[in-house]
Amino acid sequence: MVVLGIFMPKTIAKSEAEYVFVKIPKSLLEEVDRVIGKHGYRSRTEFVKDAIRSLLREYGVYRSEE
Amino acid sequence: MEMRLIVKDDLKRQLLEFIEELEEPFNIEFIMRNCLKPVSRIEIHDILCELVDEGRIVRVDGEYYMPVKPLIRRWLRGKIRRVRDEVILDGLELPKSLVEDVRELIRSRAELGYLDEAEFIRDAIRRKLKSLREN
Repeated sequence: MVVLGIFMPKTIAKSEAEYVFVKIPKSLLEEVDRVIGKHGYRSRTEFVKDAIRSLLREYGVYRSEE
Repeated sequence: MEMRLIVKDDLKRQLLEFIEELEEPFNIEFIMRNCLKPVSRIEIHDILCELVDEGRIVRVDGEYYMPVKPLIRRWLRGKIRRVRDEVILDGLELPKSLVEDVRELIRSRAELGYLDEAEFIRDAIRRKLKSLREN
């Protein structure tokens, strides 16, 4: 028995990944690590996405949650 | 039982083929999004653990993984600064659409004084940390 075609072709997967790598100082990420658990964030990424959306909202850029 | 092992081996082979040339760190959610057929999260997690044990991929920064070859390429390019028990990335994977929103804001509101998206993101993190400390 062979499981065929479980994953998308790589070309499609790459185009749909749509993630970019953003450099952030390690000292800042360490600060994030210290607070995420206490405030209900599951990961650094979740915290940073929330922080970005909050500041965008502050500047009047509305963005619906993904 | 034997059939189940064959299926798992095939799933593992296909998963490795799928991820081996990915240049960016990926997590289980990324793999789940790219499954054309239903595969359980636990199965994927188990296979990723096996691949880590076999030295084919490396767990980076907690929830993310990278295949060894792209990881070494990235390291050689200086994107990773140091390695301890785990590889520590000096950055994060963020949705392109969100970063595009930031870039658009910086372009359209030059008076805010942000030079690039990284500066905006650092400011956003600092403000969020400050607000959590105050509340």
